[in-house]
Amino acid sequence: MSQVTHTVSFVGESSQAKVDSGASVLQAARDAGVDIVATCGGRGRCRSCRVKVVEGTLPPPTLADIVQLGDQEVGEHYRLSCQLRVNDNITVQVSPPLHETAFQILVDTKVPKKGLTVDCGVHKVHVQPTLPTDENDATSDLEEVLRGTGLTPALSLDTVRRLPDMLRQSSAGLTITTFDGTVLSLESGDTTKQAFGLALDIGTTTVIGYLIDLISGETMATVPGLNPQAVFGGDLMSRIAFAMESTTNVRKLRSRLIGFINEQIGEACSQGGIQRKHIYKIVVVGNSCMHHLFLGIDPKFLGCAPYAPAMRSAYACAAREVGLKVADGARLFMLPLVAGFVGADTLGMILSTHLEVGSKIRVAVDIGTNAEAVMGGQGSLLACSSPAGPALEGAQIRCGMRAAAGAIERVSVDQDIHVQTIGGSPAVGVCGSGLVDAIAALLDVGVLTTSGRMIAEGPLPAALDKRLRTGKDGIAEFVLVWSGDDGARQDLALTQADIRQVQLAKAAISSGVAILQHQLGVTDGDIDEFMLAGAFGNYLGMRSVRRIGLIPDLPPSRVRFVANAAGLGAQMALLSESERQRAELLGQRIEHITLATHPEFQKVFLDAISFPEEVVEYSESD
Amino acid sequence: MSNMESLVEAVKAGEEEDAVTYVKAVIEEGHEVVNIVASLTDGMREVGDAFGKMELFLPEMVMAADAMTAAMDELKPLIEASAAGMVAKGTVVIGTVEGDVHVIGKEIVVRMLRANGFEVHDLGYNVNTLDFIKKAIEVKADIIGASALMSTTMPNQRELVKLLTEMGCRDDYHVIIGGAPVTQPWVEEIGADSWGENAAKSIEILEGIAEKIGKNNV
Repeated sequence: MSQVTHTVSFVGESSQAKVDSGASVLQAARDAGVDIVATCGGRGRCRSCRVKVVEGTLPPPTLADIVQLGDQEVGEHYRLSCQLRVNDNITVQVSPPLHETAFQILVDTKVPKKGLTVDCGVHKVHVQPTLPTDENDATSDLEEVLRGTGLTPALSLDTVRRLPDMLRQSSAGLTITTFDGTVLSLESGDTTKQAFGLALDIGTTTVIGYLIDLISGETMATVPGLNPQAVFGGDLMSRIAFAMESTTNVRKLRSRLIGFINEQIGEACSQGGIQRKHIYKIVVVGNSCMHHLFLGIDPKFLGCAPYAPAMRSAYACAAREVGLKVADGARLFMLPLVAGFVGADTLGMILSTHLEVGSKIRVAVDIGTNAEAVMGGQGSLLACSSPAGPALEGAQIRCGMRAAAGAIERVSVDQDIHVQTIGGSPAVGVCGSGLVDAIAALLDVGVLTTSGRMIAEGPLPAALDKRLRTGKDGIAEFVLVWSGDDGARQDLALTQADIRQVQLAKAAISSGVAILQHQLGVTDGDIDEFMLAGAFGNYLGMRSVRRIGLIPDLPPSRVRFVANAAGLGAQMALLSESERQRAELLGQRIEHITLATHPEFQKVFLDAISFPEEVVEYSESD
Repeated sequence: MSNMESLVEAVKAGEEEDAVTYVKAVIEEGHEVVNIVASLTDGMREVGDAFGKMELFLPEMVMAADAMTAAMDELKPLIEASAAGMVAKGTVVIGTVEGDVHVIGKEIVVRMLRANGFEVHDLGYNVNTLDFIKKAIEVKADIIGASALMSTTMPNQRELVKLLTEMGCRDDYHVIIGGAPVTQPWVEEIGADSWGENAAKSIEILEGIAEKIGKNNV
């Protein structure tokens, strides 16, 4: 008997998929080339891949549908596309469409590159060569072009092929572009003012490109975007798991990323009013998995102990080898990796924060699904990575969401709770910074115990008391926003389960730092500077992160947000060869500490789950 | 409060020293070992229930398990001397699968299992699939527990079930799997027996299995 096939259509998309009966709608979307974000990798553990069934038989909800979507959305014909089996011709609406979802991506346009001497290695020189005239002269086009420049003629074959005509057709001479004394390209006319570079920060969630003028050091354009690989899994591990399934998947992950970066380059060039053929140097930072996928290296061994990368050292090659559409001879530089879970992004962070310099104890933490912590001082440089999970990004939190319009980003408390949403839009959920603020507020008013139990320990103001209730499942919850208030369509509550998820995340991050302190024999008070990096870190309330114990209880003067430190490091290596070389040396110096098997980790982690009793209240001037 | 009540409270609160003090007191008072163990087990069940409702969390549960284990250690000589003796509720071989080095969740399950009277053989982390089975055969295990904390190492849980089947001994063991990325559909897909969604849930499931295999006696 032949397999029955059905057609799956997507509202607003021209492509359809014909799939076998029983295939998932998520699979059908992938076949059709329709982007559905599957943050958990299509395992029914999140709600990112939900679709609305608009035509065809609506199957009964699965358990995962009910758990993730709730009765209301299930009633509105929403289903998880990873769980929804095709048994009929069906039309679904992807929700929310990826391109309509505006996320906050942290980019710094004002990059503090002060003190940095531009020494990017790229040089352009304009020449007026003479054509070979006498057959008796033993010479060639190339030799005439390079005469007197002292340059090595290491040109791409393509350039040599174009040389004879270029030389004879250009009356305005030629421009030779070199890197480190080697010729990268030849162009007609005088293009000596057109020298650009690209710094790329490739994250699991976001990809940010910085187009920079290699002569002035000025940023011409910054292009942030969401990593298009998200359709194959939101977090690193589901990305690796997808790659493990087949080498075809590795190619899919790579080609999506490279294609997207080429689009980003196009966007940056049009913003900056330049041509992509004038980009000669590219520096890339990213976690080890993104580094591997960008280069087309199978990341499968990063997913299994001992989590060894294919290579750690800095790597350089021609940009065209990885498929980037820039100047023909452009050079590509990958900053080194430290370990399987401590990548070139961490190196970029160290580069821009100068953590290795001086004897002071300084810590930098990049908060993400994997949080990397680095501690420098007393001649040591230690790094570790902890699996914080996605809770602080709003995932696995009942009303959690990414930092987008309508997300509660600030919470304060007096006799009642007050919230502030991104863009002042009607409240639809809570993002990481709002979550951390809310928990700090609940600790302050005594609705949360230090062990993390949601219970009123004493009498509460009436407005707060009303918000603390027992949810449908018999588990305590606290209503942050009542349905109708601030334009909310439903009650937005933090549940006891949400609190536990945040406790696990913050314990993972803070125990990573604690283990580094343990290695160096350093107490909280010994920390001279604590830097929070990453897109998420910068939106956090300073007091709130101390209140929940995400960072040690240090005076605000010792805590600093350092924005996109990894991207800044890439820009520094782009503009300065000595910085890039510093990165290569740093790569060999960093000591990697493995948390999971560290003898103290279990105890430190369990201790870090509780919240601090209280924190010191500092005045503004501290 | 009687000493027995104080003992149960001490275990629930994870007060290890108090638990030892009060267990000595109740032994002194001449309580039957069977009754002491039953009271303690009830106390631990309450801890598990509170964990299920998320009123308690990992640190409290681990402390309670440690206090329980300390109390049980005091009772051990009496249990061994008593006519009935005490058979372990079941023998468990447990570990984190190959390729994975994450142990915290699994170790909490181990502590809870020991506190609840199971015989536990903890193989640690990065455990080869065949080693799980070799150990299970060697110790005549009833239960095999396999933890995977990464979506990239979950396939080794499938390998375990597959290898058990190929070796013709799949029915000899109850296979429970756990770890953050594990789901009920995954349990069904690979043909494991149960999902240890969290430490308390794992204990609850395995207590049920212990009853079934008839070793749940003191």
